[in-house]
Amino acid sequence: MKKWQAAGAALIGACIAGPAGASGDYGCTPGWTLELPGRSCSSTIVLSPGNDSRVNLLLLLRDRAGLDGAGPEGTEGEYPETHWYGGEGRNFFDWSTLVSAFYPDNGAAYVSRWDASRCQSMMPGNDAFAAALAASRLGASERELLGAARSRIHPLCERSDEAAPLWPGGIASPLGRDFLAYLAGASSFYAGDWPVARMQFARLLRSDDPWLRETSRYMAARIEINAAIDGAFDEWGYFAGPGRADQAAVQAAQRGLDDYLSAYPEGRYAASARGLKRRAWWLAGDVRALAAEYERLLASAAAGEWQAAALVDEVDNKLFFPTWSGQPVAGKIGGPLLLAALDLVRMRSAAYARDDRVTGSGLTRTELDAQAGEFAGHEDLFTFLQAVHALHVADSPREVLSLVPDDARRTSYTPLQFSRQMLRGMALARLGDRNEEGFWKELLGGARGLYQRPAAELGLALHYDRRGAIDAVFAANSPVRDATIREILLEQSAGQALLRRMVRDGVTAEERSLASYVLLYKELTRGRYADFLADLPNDPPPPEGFRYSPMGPGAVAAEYPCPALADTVKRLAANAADVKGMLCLGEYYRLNGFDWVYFKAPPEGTLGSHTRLFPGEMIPRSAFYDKVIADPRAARGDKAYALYRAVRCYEPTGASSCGGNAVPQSQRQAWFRRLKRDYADTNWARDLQYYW
Amino acid sequence: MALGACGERAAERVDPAAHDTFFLWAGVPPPDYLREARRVYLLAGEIRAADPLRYVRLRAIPQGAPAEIWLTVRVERIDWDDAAYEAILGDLERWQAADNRLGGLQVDFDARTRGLGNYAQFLAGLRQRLPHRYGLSITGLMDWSAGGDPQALAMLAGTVDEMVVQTYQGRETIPGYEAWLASLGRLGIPYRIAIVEGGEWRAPAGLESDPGFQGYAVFLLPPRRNVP
Repeated sequence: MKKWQAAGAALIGACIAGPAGASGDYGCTPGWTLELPGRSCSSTIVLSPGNDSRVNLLLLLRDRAGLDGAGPEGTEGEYPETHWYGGEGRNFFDWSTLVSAFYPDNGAAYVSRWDASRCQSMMPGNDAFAAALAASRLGASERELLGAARSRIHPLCERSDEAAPLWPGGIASPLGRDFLAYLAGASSFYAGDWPVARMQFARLLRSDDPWLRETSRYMAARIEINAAIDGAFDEWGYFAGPGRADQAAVQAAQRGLDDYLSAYPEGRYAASARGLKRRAWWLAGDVRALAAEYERLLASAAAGEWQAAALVDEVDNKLFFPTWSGQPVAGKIGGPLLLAALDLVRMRSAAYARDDRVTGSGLTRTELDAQAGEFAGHEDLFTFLQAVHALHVADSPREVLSLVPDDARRTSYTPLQFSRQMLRGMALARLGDRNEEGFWKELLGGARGLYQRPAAELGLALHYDRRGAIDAVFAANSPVRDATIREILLEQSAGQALLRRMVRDGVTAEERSLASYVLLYKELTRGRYADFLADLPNDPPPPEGFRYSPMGPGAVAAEYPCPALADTVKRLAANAADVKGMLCLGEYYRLNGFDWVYFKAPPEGTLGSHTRLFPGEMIPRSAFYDKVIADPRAARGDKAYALYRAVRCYEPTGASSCGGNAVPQSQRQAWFRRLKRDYADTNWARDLQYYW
Repeated sequence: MALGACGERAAERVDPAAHDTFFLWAGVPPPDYLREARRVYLLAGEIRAADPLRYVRLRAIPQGAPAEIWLTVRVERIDWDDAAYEAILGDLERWQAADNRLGGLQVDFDARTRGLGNYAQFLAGLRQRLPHRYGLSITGLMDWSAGGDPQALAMLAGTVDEMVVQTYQGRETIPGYEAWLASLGRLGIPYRIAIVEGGEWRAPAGLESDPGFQGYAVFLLPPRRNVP
C-alpha cells in the first residue's frame, strides 16, 4: 500500500551529515546563543526578532512602567517551576512560562464550563438574574417561580439538540411577563434562534424595570455579533473568518453597541460592550480602528497586572497574526508600542518570512528611519530598533556601538535598557572586541530582573567558550552561576582534568554528580579503560534525584553472561580487543541506553560548540561486533553471539540502532546465513528467524 | 540505512491528498479533501503552563463532521484541576451529541523522556475517568522508544489505545527520522506515524509491515500566502 507520493522528481539537495543514530535532541530545544534573528521555539528576555511577538510586546509594555520583574530588595525574583521542559534553563522560555513568572497569581479568573462561546455568560447570568429579581417590584411568588425557571435554560448549553424549555404558569403581572420574556429571549439566544431572541428583547426596551431595559439594549447588540459569526463555522468547528461573517449583522452590532454605550457609558455591560466593539471591528476587517483602540488600551494598561498579558495575547491574535486575512498590517498601524513590536517581527531573517505573511515584507532601513516621527519621545526605543536592524539585518555590528552607548554600570535595568546593553554586548562579541569580557562582567552587576542575569552570564560564557578558556567559568569566584550554562559546558567542552576537578569542587551535589557521570561515560565510550578504572568512585552517590548518576550497578547481562562492569573494563584495559570484554561492554551499552548518543555536539556557534577538550570519539556498539566477527581467535559461541547481535541491530525497520555506519542489507543477509550455516547448533542461530 | 545511502534515492514529499488520516490544528482551514478522510484529529483546545485551571477552547463544536473525529487537547502540563477534567470530558459528550462520530480523546503533551513515568500515571488516571466508549490516544516523540524508562513505557502500553509519533518539527521532517523509528517496535504500543504536509518522508524498510504500525496521520499546515 503506497501511501506517500513523490512530488515530481523532488530530490532533497542536502545530504544530512553526521553518523546515523546520532540524532540528538530534536525537540523544541533552543540553540544556546544570544542572537535570535529568526523565529525560534523559545524567547529570551532581550527584545529580539526571534522572540514570540507577544513576549516583545509585553516587555515593551512593562518597560513603560519600569518593571524588570526583580524581587523585593534587590533579589532576583522567583522563577516558575518548569520541570517538564528540560533544556531551557533560565535563558529561554515560552510565552506562558514568562506570564507565570511575571504574574504568579493570575489564576483568579472566573472559570466557566462554557467559555469561548456565547454560553460563557450562562452561569454568571444566574446571579445577575437573581439580583435583578430581588431588586424588582415583583411579588414574592412570581419572584420565586421566575428565579427557579432560570436554570431550565442550562441544558441548551449542554446539548445542541435540546428542546426549548417549558416556562412556569401563574405569571400574571405585566412586570412578571417582562421577566418571562427575558427568559424566553435568553433561551432563544443560547439556542441560536436569533429572530425570536431579537423580538423578545426588543419588547423589553421600554420595560418598567431598569435592569431589563439596560440588559435588553445590550443584548440587542450581542445578538447581532453572534448572528454575524453563526454561519462562519463549518462542520469541523472551524471559524472561516470575517469573510464568512454576515457583514450586515456586524454593522447592526456596531450600531447597537454605540447605542448602548451612549445610553449607558458607565453601564453594567460597558466593559463587555467595548470588548464586543473590538470584535466587530475585527469581523469587519477594520484594522486601523482596531489598532487605534489597542494602542489606546496598551497606553492605559496596568503593566503589573496579569490582564496586561491577556491584552497582549489578544493584540497578537487579532491584529498581528489573524490566520485567515492574508492582508499585511504593516502601514496600517501606528503608535510606538505596536509599531516597535511589529518592526521586530519584520526584522526576522528571511527564512522565516514566509510564515509571517500577514505582518508584511521585511523591514528596510529606509522604512525604519522614516518612522522617526512615530517614535518622538521614545528615542531610546527608536535607536534600539535601528541597532537591531544593524546587527541582525545589515550585519554591521560597529554601527550598533554608535547607536547604543555603553551604559552597563547601572544598578538595575528596565526591559528596554537591558535589551540595549545586551545588543551592545552581542556587537562587541561579533567584533572580537577586547573589552567584551569586561563589559559582560559590568552588566552582571545590575542585571537583577527576572531572566536578566542568566542572559548576561550566557554572553560571558560564550566569550570564554570561543576563547577556549572555559576554566574561567569554573574558577572559584566565577560570576557564571547558572546551573544550565555550567551543565552544558561540562557535558560538551570540559576535558578530563576539569571534569576530575569538578567531581571534587562542583558547586552543588548535582554538579559533582554530573561531572562524574560525564567523565566516566566518555572514558568508557571512548576506549579510555584504564582512566575509567582510576576515576571510578568506590562509593558512588545515590542516583535518586539526579539527572545522571555515575556508573552505578546498571544492567550487565541478559542473554549473554557478563560480570560486573568494572570487571569487564579491567579485561579491556589489559587488552582493548578482548572478545568477552567487547561483547560485555556491548551488552552494557544495549541494556543501559548507550546506543543513544548523549552529549551530541551542539549546533555551530552555540554554547559548547567551540571548546571541545575531551579526546576521542564514541566507539559505537556495532564496532565491537565487527571486531569479534573478524577475529579468527574468537570462540564459537562468542562469534555466534556477535553475528546474532549484529543482525538484530537492524531490527525492526532496517535502520541501525547500534550506531556506526550502516551496512547494506546484503551484508546483514550474509551475517544471517553465516550464523545459520556455521553456528546452527547454537541458541543464537536457533533463536534468530529473520534478518532486516 | 539512514544516511549512508544519501544520494541514492529521491526523497519523497508528503502529499496529503494521498492519505486518509489527518491532524487539523486550530487556525488551519480544512481542505476540501478532508471530506473524504477516514479519521481526523481535531485540535479542540489547550491547557497552558500558566493556568492549569483553565481549558481554553480553540474550536467550535463540529457539527456532523463527515469523518471519524478525535478530540485533541494540547497540554503544557498534566496537573489538571477538576474544572479542566470537567470541561474536556463534557466537551466529548457535546461533540458526540452534535451528530459526530467521535473516536475518542487524544492528549498532545511533549513529555520529556525523563518525565515519562509521571505522564504514564496521569494517563492511567485519565483513562479511569474516560467513559469506556471512547478511545485514548496520545502523541509521542521519537526518542521515547530509545531513551524512555522501560517501566514507564510498559505502563503507557497498558493504558493508551495508540500513540501517534511525531516525525516533524515546525514545517520540516526531523533529519535522521529513519534511525529513530528503528526502535519503535520495542514500545509495544500500536502506533501511527505523524508526518507533516510537504515534509520529507520515505518509509523505512519494514515499517509498513510492522505489526504495531497502524498507518499514517498527516499534520496539515496553513497555506502560505505571500504578501506583495
